Amino acid sequence: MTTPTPPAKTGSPATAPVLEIRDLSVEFATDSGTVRAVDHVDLTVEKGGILGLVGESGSGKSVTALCILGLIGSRRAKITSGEVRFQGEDLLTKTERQMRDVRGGRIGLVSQNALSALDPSFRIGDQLIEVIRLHQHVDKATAARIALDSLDIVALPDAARRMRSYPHELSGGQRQRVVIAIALACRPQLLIADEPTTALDATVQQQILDLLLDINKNLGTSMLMVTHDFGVVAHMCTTVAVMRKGRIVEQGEAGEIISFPRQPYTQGLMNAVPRLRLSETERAVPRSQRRLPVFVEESAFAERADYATV
Amino acid sequence: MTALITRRVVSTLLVLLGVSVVVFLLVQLVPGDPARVILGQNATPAAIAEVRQALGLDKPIVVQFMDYLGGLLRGDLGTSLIVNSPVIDIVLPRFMNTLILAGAALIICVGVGVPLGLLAAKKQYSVFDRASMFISMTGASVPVYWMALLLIGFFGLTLGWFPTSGMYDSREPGGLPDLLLHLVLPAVAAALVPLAVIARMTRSVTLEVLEQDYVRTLRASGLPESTILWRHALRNALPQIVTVIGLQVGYLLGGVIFVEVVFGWPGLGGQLYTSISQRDMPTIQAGVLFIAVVFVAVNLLADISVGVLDPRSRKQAVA
Repeated sequence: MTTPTPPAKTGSPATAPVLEIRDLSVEFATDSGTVRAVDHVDLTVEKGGILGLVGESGSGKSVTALCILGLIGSRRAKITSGEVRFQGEDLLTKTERQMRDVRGGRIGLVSQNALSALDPSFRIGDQLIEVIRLHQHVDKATAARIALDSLDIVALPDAARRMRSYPHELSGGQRQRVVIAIALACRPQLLIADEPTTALDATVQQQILDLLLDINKNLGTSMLMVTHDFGVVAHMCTTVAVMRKGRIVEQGEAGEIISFPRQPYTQGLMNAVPRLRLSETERAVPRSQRRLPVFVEESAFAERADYATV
Repeated sequence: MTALITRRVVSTLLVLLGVSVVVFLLVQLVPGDPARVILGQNATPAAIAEVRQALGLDKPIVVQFMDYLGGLLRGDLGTSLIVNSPVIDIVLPRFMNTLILAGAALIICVGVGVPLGLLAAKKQYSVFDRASMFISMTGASVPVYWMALLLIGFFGLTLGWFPTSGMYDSREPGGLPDLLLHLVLPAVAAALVPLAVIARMTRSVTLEVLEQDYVRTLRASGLPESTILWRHALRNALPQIVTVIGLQVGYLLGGVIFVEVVFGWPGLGGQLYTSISQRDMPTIQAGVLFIAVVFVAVNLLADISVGVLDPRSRKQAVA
């Protein structure tokens, strides 16, 4: 297969990356055959950096992200090759029991659907306290204090009173702040944000992205930002990896790739960000090309001819 | 919350009024004259007319209903046509025995059905899931009285583990342990069908809950699967499970009547069975009324607990 461009180093080259994914492949058994959703993927998240993992729906970016946490929730999925090295340890060889300490403790997840990501039957404070006590083994009063600190970090207004609120009493943006607070409560070294702004209003999206950026700056939390939106990448990512049909087609420093995308697919994605005026030559990725092939050996670059005239 | 409870209580009172109408009409709709039942086949028309007057049966139907309703409110359910004593004295002790049996059956239903459904959902498509759902489907398909006979035959006669009839040992009644021993087989027989329904409903509701986004958040927070299932999934599935349990109580009470007859349990069901064959209308009315009141009350309770359990409906109720 084609070797993607090695990721450009940001920050101090001496520090080891927080997360290194090497040669990761995931296959799904479907009714019409085996589909390789993640195909020999290499990714690196530098310490303190933000990696944007970009691709359209079905490109395998969310599956890749869930693999890190060992949460591909389907009995039909199988990791067929590779390793996920987090702070030097291969997460794929860990037991379920060991992974539970990693999840929420050392790696936090901010998931796609802010509106439904919190348990509707429990108070915000209790949900935070449950996670904190699980990982930090502190008494309830201490956990409540840590919970309040977390809510302060995500700038939830009136946090002390909100601890006693139920999720339905909060707006979408506030709920996503709480989700981030839960993910951050145990000060993980890595935060995986899986399209964290999808369900939110445009104005709130910006606030949440700025909040994540602040967290990255102030707490030094490294991030893996899964998104389909190059606007998000331009706003906050240090490095970016473009994914298509389960493969990384382009990878490098964010500014560089946005300015000089080498792959036509990357240009397609960038053009897909809606703008008020579109030039004649710009067009989105054709829908017919989005579906994953049922196990055919095919280059992820095969359709670059489509863009030859762009 | 208070508004919710008030609304439910008012609607329950209306339902109870409707129930009393239906129960009253039982006498009017069933063929046969109560006076003739009392006096027998060879009574003279004059004697029948006299008895009808004594019973108030000659008055207009609306007046009869008002009399009946007035009696209900005073706790007077009429006098039995057969044994000539107040119906309440016959029905109330029997009703208590039925409550014991139905209560025990309900404990079995909920205590076994809900965990079974949760575990089956957790291990969806596993051998455990398929086996427990197959058995519960079979259990739900077998008529209660047939299941009762099977239980008597196997556990009562072949194995001799449990007594097969009555509430206490007639030779040496032994208090609570004796009662519990006598309770096992009838309670199990009465519980089976509602248990199967509760288990299946719990399973499907739990499966739905486990698909929700917040379950992924919980997993990503490192919570063990057991906590997610028994704390979060159960808590979110509970409102629907409680609703189903409330409805199944009706089925349970219906089944208890058969079970009481088969096991010779001195409850309301057995009494109703006897009274129906004797055409003792006031006793039948009272029995039906008691069962209806229990059903309505249990569902009122279920409704209110659903309101309490779901924070979202709690809010709406206040608004």
